[in-house]
Amino acid sequence: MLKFVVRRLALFCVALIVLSLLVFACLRILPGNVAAVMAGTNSTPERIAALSEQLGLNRSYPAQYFQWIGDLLHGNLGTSVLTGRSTMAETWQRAQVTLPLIVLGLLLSLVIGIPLGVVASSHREGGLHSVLRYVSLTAGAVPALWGGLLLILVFGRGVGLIGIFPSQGFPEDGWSSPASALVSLALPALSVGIISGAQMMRYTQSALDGIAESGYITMAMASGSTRARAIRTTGLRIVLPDLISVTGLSFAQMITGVLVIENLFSLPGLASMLVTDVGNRDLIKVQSELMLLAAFFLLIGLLTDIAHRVADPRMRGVGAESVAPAQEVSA
Amino acid sequence: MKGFRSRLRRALSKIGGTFGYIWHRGEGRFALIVLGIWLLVCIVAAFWTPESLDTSDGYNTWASPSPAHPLGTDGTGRDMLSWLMAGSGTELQIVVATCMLAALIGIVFISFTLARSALASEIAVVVTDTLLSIPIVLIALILAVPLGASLTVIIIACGVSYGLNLARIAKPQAVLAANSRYVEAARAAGSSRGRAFFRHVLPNVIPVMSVQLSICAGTAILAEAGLTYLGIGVPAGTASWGASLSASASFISIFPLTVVWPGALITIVVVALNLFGDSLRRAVDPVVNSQLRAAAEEVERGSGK
Repeated sequence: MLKFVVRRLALFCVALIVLSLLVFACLRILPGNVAAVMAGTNSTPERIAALSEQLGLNRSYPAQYFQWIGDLLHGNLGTSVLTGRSTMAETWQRAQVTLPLIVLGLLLSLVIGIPLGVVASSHREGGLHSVLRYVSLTAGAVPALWGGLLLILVFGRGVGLIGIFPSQGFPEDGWSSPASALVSLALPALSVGIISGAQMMRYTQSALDGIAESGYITMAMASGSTRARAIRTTGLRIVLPDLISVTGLSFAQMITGVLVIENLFSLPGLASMLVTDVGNRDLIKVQSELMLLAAFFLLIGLLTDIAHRVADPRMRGVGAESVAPAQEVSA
Repeated sequence: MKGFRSRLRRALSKIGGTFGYIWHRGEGRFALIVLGIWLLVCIVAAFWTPESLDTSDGYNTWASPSPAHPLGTDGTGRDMLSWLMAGSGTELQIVVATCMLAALIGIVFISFTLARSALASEIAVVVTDTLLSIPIVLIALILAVPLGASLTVIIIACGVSYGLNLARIAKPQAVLAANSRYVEAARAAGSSRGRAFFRHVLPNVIPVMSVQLSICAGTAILAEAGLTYLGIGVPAGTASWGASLSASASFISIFPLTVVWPGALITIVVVALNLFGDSLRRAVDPVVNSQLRAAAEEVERGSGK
């Protein structure tokens, strides 16, 4: 176990370094130099020179790279050239909207997906099975934007048929009034959760179907439990490691939908910050933000792999190579 | 030349048989019909759309469906039907390019995992396992900085992500084939590692890959819609389903009907692609398809194993 963790940590570090190089390179292969792009098309040569002096862009690439990495390691993500605000502070403030949204969406998707997956797997023939199959197939194929719009049309306050949830914005004072903050996240989290839940249901069902013919379920049934009960107790425990891996990956896969939904509901989260900064070509800020987010997702991947390992006692004696379940992709 | 032709004929008849199998089930037929209509519309829209894309009917913005505009118009009075038809071509380009890139990356990584050098296979595993936890939208944002909003951003971001996933899913199959008797025999008969890979390992992986690719095609369409809405996908002025959806999204509360069409269209096509993938799996996967399984057992017995 320890060997596995150490090896996985080493991988994590290597991946971080490779990613930082990638992000750095992508921001340097722009036509023209970074300072000229940031200063805008109408700027004078003196302004460009001053800006590149200020940002240290007139130094060699390796020098710039190591300066940037050194700053990152000291927790210094720089300040935005356009607004003068600290990148770290702004990212943290924005993440307070995005992270709860992701977590709520993920919880909803588990609450929706796993029970329905169990039901679908317990009823392998007949009407209920096909109804669930088509529902999950359709719900998983809905673009996040459209799903959010439909929910607004049904539940949005002021516009919807049953207007009970606000469809725009987030309380000014953030989480200091938790109730209204939660309510304003209800529809966004539901949009993300239903779509992701449909996929979670398909994973759960196919994982459970995969072990249905195995000796585990037969053994449990021989010990006196019904088929449904055997799947609920024994089956779920056996596929738990796979479900953990899938949940970890959904975390990364949901994020496109989350960013779209944030924009749709005008939530002041990471989406609007990233899109605005990429649009404004506030490049030094974008560089740090993207790196921070990438590191965050790598960390989630690391934690998922370790949790998978802990949840699967069969893996304890096995060598260090990673085992992950075969997995379908999603946007 | 003759050998090539007969091989081509065999391959074509095999593909024909697979499609026949898919057509025989209701789900598969639905998928094939929807995908067929999509291709047909692409061809038609390349030459003709009911209204020219540049025409905008300024007196009829946000119009409801009418004989002149069967699906209504958007905020600048452009004909929704014409834009959706034109968008199907863009969508097809994205899907085909993404799948090709994903297949290429998948095959390269699979060949790396099977490589003789432990270092190469180690690197392949490390790259797939770690990069998989990076979301598509983040890759797209990184690419959008130098490239701006463009089809290339969508294609590379999705292609890389799906390609790595493909490599991971197809790996067990590839390893199984690479360690099989027939590869051993081919190697003993003097064929090179590369030749053995392309002639014997790859054909074993292709069924798994094509199933996975048809699902990737669906998710690529969904990703296009999302990335375009975020402003890092299809550039302004290019017709695409995601662009039509995004354009109508901001006025949802005033003109709810307009937003129905692009969203429903995307959902139907993605469902069709997923059903196609499921049917294809049923047709080519011996674990699911009992006929194939029987045939495989026949061969096993015949080889006196």
